[in-house]
Amino acid sequence: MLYAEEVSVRFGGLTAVDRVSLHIVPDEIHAIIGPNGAGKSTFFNAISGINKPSEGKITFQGKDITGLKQHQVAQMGIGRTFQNIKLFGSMTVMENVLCGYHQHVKSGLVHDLFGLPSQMREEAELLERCKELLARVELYDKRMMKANNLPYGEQRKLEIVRAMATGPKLLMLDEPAAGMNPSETEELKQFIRKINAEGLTILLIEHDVKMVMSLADTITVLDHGSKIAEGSADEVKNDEKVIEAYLGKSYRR
Amino acid sequence: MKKKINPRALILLLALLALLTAFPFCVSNYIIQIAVYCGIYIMLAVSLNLLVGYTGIFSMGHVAFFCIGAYTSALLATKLGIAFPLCFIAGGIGAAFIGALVGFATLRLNDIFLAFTTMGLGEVIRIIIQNASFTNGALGVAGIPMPMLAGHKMTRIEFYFMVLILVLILVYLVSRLVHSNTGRTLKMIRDDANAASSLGVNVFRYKMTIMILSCFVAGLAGSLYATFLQYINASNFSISISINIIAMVAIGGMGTISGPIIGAILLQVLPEAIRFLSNYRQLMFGIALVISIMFAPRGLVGLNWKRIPFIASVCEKLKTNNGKEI
Amino acid sequence: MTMIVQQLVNGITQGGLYALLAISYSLVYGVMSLVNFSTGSIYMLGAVGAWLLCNYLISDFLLSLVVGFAVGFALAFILEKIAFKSIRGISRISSLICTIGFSQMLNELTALLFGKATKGMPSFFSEKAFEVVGVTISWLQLILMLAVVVVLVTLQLFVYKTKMGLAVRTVAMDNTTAGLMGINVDRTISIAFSLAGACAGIAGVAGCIYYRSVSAYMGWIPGIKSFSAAVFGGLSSMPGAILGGYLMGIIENFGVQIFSTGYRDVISFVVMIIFLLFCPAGLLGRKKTTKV
Repeated sequence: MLYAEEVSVRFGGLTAVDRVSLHIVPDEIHAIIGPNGAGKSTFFNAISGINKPSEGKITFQGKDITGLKQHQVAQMGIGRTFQNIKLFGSMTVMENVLCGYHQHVKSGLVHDLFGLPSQMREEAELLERCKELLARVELYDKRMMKANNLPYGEQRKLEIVRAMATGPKLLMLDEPAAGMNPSETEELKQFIRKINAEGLTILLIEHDVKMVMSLADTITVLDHGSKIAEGSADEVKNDEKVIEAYLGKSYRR
Repeated sequence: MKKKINPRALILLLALLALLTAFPFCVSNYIIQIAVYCGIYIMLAVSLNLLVGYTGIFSMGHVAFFCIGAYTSALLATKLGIAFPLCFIAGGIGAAFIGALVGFATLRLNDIFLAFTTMGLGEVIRIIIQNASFTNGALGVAGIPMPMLAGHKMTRIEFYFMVLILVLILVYLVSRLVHSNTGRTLKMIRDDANAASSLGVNVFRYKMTIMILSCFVAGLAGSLYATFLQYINASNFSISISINIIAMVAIGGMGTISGPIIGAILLQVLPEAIRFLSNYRQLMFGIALVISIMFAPRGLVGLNWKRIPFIASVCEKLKTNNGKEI
Repeated sequence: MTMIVQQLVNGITQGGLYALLAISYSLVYGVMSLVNFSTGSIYMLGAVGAWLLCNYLISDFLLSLVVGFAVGFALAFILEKIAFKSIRGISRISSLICTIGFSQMLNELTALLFGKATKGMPSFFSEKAFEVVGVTISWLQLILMLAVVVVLVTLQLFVYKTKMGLAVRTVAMDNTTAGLMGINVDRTISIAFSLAGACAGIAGVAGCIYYRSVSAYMGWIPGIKSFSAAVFGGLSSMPGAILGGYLMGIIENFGVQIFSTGYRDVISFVVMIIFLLFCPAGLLGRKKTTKV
């Protein structure tokens, strides 16, 4: 589904990501892990269009998306969330999700200015779809709350839901479990499983190795900007290089 | 979303309209003039609010677009003898064009840069107008004709109605706009541009669109101003006008429909109503601005008026059937 | 050739004033991420202070500068304590608007108490110092240049060599972390803000002596111009602001030579905008990268 070929990202003299290749298969949950500063986020941002890759090529569903702008990547069908939650704080839960539908709205400026019937109809339709989605993810009761007033775990969830509303084929989650307690993490895990089962391919970065091991189908391990291992949880767990990267040389078996 | 219209609110609205219609017949020419200025400032404040309040683009030189609109319209009318409606539209388009250029150059960069560029632009334009020959330099443009209406020159009262209708249309359109997908997108950009583009929003295009729209409206206001005053001069468009517009938006309430309207009326009428204040108009604006940011950062509209029992009861009555369900 | 050197000298003299104001913007922007629009008003009040001193007490150049320093410092200190401290958390737009309000208030209040008319300053060091192949440099120019350089160097020394300066730089980088490291953030901001005010006050005195006039609205144009100079040099960098200020003065004087005096305020501005379109971070500014 998504192919990254030999992607490098350099900032001045610093090579943050060094020739990393990745292949994401449809319907899988693919995780990228690695110690701090391994270049996970940079790689992630290179896919989603925040950082331009210095070298390499990224294709998504057969189309070249290398160096596209963030909104263009989103329009190709890649949704994402952020490490530090970026909700629209002044809006309600409902409005946040409505924002997610942005690219599906056909009415333009003129329609909006004059409130043409087609625009009104579309808006009403959108509202219905939005309510449906909120009911499905069990946020319906909180739809009129200000997004900032939600508990932390639900803010994460809302951000994911908002990204889901864009109708992505691939959903990228940037450290979704960051700052969560074990029960919130467990809930999140169930939630990710559920949306994955509904047919959404997921790429996630995560620090919580335990969560990743029990969740991901494929795991890619980065260290110092390059890929050191890839495979299923068991394969990665027993990989010497991975153990070395995480625990240091002395733990090498 | 079915909106049920509350009969009480409807009556209130009709009464307000009746008042606005009847009022010019009962007052002096001078008061009509103030009312027209009010309308023009409402247009300016509403258009600036689209940028500052809804999109988070801080234009500090809105007067530049006001000025371009006024001069475009005035010069077309006096030098080429073009009829008012065309001058009016041309004023808007002229301002929108310059707005587009400025936007194209600065909207990609950070907000301070835009604030600084627009502010400077206001001064640059004023100075060019003061020195250039095609604008009659410091002499200004005189003898701008009043628009024709049914074969005679518009009276002040008729002009008042024209402005009133334009303002009503503008407010209606803007309130439609901000409650639509476009409006939501603007608020997204204001809250977090990065998140907005992750949802597929072309941030630059939206900023550009709203910049052009806002400048267009400011240009229209400029055209009305020039036509009503019949004489304009570079000194009418000093930087303090920009600050007054900002004050209107900030004091009324940024990012609301009614805020800039209330702000514009208040700041335009108060200095006239309280005579001894009119000499200290600018000082008062400054003080009001500081106080409102420090103590009512969301403006007059954002204050908790319901703490006053009388207002609370009125609101209750108006709201009874009007629970907007989303 | 003579003319070029002459304009260069004039430009550097004027540029010094802009540099002082620009550094005032830069200092405040550094510690508070706030563009203090009332800098121009502090400039004006510094000048008014000097005028009052020269007219009612004693007409002395050095003492005028001291008064400018004191007025700017005190005014900025008060402003920060009563207002900017309470608005620190609010959005950038709101805080910018608030400083605009203050600026308006100070200007109008001065106009009310001091009168709207432009007043003359006594002249110091009016005779010319020397003339080399047609280039005249007056003592006034020479002394102003020197005074500005002394102030700028002192400020640089303060910021880069003292403990307090280190605190200022730390707060500029990240005030939460600075607070955690035991730096008194409030006090540091207050000091930086007051020093910025003092710079503007001194610039005001230098300005009114150079142009030999004082008025309640004299701060507008220099305020705006030196703000653009600061952006030109890179708002986040103090050396950048100084460089921007001097370049602003030089470009302006050459511009006047080439075009006409009527366009004095336009030329430098247009040049800077065009430059910034290609290099938005300014001459020495760092490009800000926000982590996502």
